[in-house]
Amino acid sequence: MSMDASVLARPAETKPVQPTISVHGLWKIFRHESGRDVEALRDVSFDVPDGQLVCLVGPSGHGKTTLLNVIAGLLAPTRGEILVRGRKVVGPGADRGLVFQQDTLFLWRRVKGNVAYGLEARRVPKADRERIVAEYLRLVGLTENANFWPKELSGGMRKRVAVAAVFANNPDVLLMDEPFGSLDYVQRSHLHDVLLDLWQRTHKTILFVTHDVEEALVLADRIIVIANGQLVDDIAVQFPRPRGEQTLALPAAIDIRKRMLEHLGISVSAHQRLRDARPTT
Amino acid sequence: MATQARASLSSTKGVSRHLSIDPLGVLGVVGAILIWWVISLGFPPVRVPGPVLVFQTAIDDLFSQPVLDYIGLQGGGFAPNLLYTVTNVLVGLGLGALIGASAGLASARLWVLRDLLDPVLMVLGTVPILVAAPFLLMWFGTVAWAQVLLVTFYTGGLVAIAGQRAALNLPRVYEDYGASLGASSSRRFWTIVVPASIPALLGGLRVALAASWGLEAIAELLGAPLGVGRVVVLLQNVEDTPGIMAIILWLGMIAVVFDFIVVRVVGWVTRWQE
Repeated sequence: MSMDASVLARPAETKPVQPTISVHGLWKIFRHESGRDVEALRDVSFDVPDGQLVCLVGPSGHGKTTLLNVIAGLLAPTRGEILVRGRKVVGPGADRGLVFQQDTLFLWRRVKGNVAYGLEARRVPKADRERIVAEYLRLVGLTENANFWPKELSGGMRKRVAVAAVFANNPDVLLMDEPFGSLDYVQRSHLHDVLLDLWQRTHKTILFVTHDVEEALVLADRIIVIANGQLVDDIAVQFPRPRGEQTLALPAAIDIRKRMLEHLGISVSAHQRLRDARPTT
Repeated sequence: MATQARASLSSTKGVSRHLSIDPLGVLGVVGAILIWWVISLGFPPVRVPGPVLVFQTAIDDLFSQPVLDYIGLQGGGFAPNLLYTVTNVLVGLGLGALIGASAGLASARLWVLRDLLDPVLMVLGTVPILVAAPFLLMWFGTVAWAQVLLVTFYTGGLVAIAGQRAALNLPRVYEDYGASLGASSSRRFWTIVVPASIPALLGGLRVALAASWGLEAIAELLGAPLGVGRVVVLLQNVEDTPGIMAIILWLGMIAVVFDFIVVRVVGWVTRWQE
């Protein structure tokens, strides 16, 4: 697919001297209604260089979404700080695009209106806006559906609109909170392809929360494991893409899977049974 | 012949579907008229006039009514009075919708305003709206504003509560999503909170419209220069029962037509709803 350079290009000459995301000594403590303090995040620190696709993996309720929300600026940290391109995060902003687990499309806007929302908010001129929207709708395969209402789309198509809307807004960082968790296996695999295609074109920095070990292995350059609010493992994933069944069956992939499963408290044999039960493409 | 009949039937079904005519509803109306006719057979027309007499009076008195002319009410039969009632209802409804929507949405956004407004709405909600009618009559006299304000108060309260609830119930994630796309607080209000609340606001408005015809007529009964209520009082004095029933019939038909239009408009405006 050809690409409009002015739409998607990231300046090649910019060589960042600092990581795109820096998380330093991050704590998030919630006060339970009983008066007890709950430490959702405990002294989490890591850096993410420009253009890396990082998966945050961990059991449910162990702090992954809290971490993403603090980076997004939707929650204030109790201690520590987050820098995005050297700027301290103090609230939500267009430099950090979010794709939520739940459906957030504006039902009262057509598909193209949803993709254009961020561009309108940032007062991008109409002609540029229309060009960018058309380009991203083409990339996610929804050109024919530009004038549809969200109610006329399937779950997978809605997710494609959400992904297009966030990429079209050209943020520095994409934060994705289990975005494909509600989809079936086939739709999720298709969305993985769409996401990887857009990422490889734009080289955006992506933090992708998932509790699915296989999804992390398919997508990530790097896997950060969060358990009990702490960063417990940081694993580089250096397999070539696309990563099919053969890649995921390599001994190195099996080792990574085993490491993650140990942190998640699941035995490898139990996980294998779950994998075998899945359909293959 | 059979083909023609089928085509004719299909065409009738098409028109019926287009106008959303419910065959059972039509049957119900016909049944009610039949029952009315049967009951009227047992009474003199001055007590319970039959449907034919009432329909005839409705047509005959629409532009000329001798009793009303004689009493000195504005000439022209029922028409100017119906126009007066319809105008008051629409003005009251419009004002109420504007005030109610603004107050409801703003109070959902600003907790200070919500804390100030909620007790007032709660107390007023427990008081029957017709209690306000004598006060309005005392303060404004029998001018049109007295009746308009009654409809405005009722509509405003209903729409304010509907708007506030809709805005407060909107999941937080929509605004978070808007903020992450770079939308300011005011932009999020106008492009997320307001459109998301429109179905509830229009729902409240439709309920208010249905009740407003009766409220307006009762306010006119208490004192008004013109209007359906005023006509009912005047015709009651001369025991013109067919005339009273005829103008009420007109008001009912006008209410049905407006409800039909509102349903169509609401359906179009909220066509994005799942």
